[in-house]
Amino acid sequence: MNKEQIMKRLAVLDFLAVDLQLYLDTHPDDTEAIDKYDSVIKEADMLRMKYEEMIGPLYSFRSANMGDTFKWIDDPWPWQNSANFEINEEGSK
Amino acid sequence: MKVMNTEMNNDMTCIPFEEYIKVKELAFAYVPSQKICSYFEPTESLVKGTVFPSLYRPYK
Repeated sequence: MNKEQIMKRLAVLDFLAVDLQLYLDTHPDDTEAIDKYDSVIKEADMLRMKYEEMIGPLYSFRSANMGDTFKWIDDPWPWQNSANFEINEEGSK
Repeated sequence: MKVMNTEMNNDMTCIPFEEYIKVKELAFAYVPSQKICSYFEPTESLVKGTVFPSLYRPYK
């Protein structure tokens, strides 16, 4: 998976995690939703690790640096176009 | 015992709700608990803005 695919998949998974968490707040014993939530979290964590090993830090305050220069300050910055992507109508495949 | 029944409405998204409303006092607002029974696909839910089909109501 390249950088853009991982970023898109992480956007999808994080969105799912939030939506399922909101549901689980009021339905804590819905085991089906809990299983779905767990699988989303596991996949997202795995992807985050993969991204940070392959490409670089995702967060300025919780990504291991793995190098002798502080990679967070390298380009692109989060607000730059090259650090972002489009979620088009047919989904982000 | 809370009996949950599910009814399939037109676009096949089931809207489960409690069989009976426990609260029967006058002028008492009550929101029946609704359990989710189907989910959108991951990428589809990001595009549609929700993972719950029964909440997806695009403005037509």
